[in-house]
Amino acid sequence: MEENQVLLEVNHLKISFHLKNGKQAKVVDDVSFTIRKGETVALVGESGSGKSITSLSIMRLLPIPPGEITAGTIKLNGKNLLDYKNKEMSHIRGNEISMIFQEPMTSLDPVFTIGNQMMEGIRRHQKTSKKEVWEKSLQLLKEVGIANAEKVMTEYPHQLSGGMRQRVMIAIAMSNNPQLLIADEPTTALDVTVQAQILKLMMKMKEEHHSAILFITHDMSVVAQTADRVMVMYAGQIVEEAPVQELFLNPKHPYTTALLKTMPSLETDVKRLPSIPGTVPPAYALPEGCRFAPRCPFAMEQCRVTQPEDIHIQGEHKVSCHLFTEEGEPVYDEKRSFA
Amino acid sequence: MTKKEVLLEIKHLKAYFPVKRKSMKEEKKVIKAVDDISIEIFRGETLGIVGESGSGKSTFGRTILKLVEPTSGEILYKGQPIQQLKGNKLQIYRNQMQMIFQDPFASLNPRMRIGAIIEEPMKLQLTLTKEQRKERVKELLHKVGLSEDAMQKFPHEFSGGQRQRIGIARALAIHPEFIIADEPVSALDVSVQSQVLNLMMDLQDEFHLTYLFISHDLSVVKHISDRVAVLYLGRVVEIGTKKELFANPLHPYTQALLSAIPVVNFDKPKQEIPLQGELPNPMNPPIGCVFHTRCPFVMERCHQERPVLQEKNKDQRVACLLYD
Repeated sequence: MEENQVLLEVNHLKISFHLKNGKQAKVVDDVSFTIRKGETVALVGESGSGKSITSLSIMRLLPIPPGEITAGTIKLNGKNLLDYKNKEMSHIRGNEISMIFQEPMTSLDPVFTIGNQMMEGIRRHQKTSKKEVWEKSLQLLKEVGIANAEKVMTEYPHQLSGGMRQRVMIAIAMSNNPQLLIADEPTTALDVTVQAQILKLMMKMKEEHHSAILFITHDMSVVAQTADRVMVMYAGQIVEEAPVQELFLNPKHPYTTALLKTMPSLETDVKRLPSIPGTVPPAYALPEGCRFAPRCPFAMEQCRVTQPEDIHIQGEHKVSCHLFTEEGEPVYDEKRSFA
Repeated sequence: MTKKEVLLEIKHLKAYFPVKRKSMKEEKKVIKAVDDISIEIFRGETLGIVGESGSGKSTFGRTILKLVEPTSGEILYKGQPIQQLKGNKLQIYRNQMQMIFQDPFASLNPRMRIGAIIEEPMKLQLTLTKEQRKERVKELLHKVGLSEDAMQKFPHEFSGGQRQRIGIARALAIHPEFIIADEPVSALDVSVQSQVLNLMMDLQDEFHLTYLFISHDLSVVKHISDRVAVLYLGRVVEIGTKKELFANPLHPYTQALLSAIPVVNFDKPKQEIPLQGELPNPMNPPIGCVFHTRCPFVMERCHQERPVLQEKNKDQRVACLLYD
């Protein structure tokens, strides 16, 4: 079945940054995942967890140096992107993989008109006449719900609101029918009412253009509404991975559980929010053993010594935690919880 | 319930900002950042202020502290008008109020040590000896969950959540009664957000603080507030107790805001009230009801008449012609 074809396969990816003081920061440490065609996969984590660095490395936009991919492969349709020369990569970028960023203010060039920037992307990858490209840009702007598209084509980014700019970014990203769209916190800078519009638009564009989405966010409730599958990242590693319903209804890793419990929601009414003590460890001073152990209320002797391996719970649900046996049975006292 | 004491009463507060004209021929324009807001704040409560960016919620907070001079309107603090306060008297008024800012990276001076940052307001406003001040800094650090050796460190050595704790310690330094928190947790990660929210609630209990909690995040506001006011283009469109407002929102804007928040619920897809477009330009707000350009229930009347805030039930007031 076409639906189940693997589009992107990241294998044992390791990225470190060389710091000025000679230390090495292991920002991404042995990360593996796949994205199938047409699928929406969310990568969730706090700031500093390495989620943006992972996505930049897929686009080959990682600043090297100070960054360095020390191991692993990133395969798109079976071909390793890390083997491509820069020139070859520029055919992929914006064509087969495109990206939307968090800041619609800074990701558009302030000195070019919207039309100019839209057409640049299309003309780079498609050989068509200027007039046709203009027509196509117009149509794309209409598709993303910009009412007076003709006028917007001649305007500059500062003349548009945040939501409008993000719509333009989506139009540009979709202009070459990419197979994979990477969205790095696309709605974080927007108001809730506009966020709802943009999320809906992204899902619509995805359907129409048959793209897969890698959705990077810290917001669990956005994930619940958009993703098919979720990966939770902590301190450079994926600690849990599951289909979206499974993850929300049956989270295994204490960090996932904590993330779900600590966010205030409209649904629940609690006097006091549970909280995770401490903060994410910096990438140059990672703890031995499980990286979440210092903040984990269930941590055992073993957690502070050895790093946990991936354990398959059922189906596509994977967790990397010492609290489960190889059969996926919990080995801890479930009554304990976050204060 | 005992009768609640009004700590702060705000009457018809307006804050307008003139807009630079390109030529003398152009007519004079103003941005009505705060447009006729009347609210009372009770002692010991947390009043949440929600609204989208550009709704005037931050300006409202700043106007109360007289950081922004109001265009017109009255602010009564314990029944005393504060408009005419000057010099010493204004200082005393400000001593009662402190502010916690959104950006924990920008609101602490990077060249000062934490001890000095927290001590500074005491130097200006309290008569304490050097030793007493130092003791109090230690006590405050302890209260916000930081260790004493933080005193010797600089802001860059702390994470976002820790800096926000420092900001809170500084705000508490001079025993204020009233704290304006402007998006205090928006810049923090979720796991740290809940720590800071819990801390703020603990401190409120301990020191009997009154909070004005400004945020765009309705879930956070719902968690911490007793009452909530919803702002749209500088006006209060709905105000009510948390319970009523979230269970039974009256104003179409409140309803839309609530429905726009993504929720984790796989069983029943929730009813969504889609809002078209974005906040209108505050330089050129719509005539009549300010919300009519985006309102799904707009009527003929809404284009001309401006609704006023009126009591709907004992817990809720709404400014909407649908309930006229």
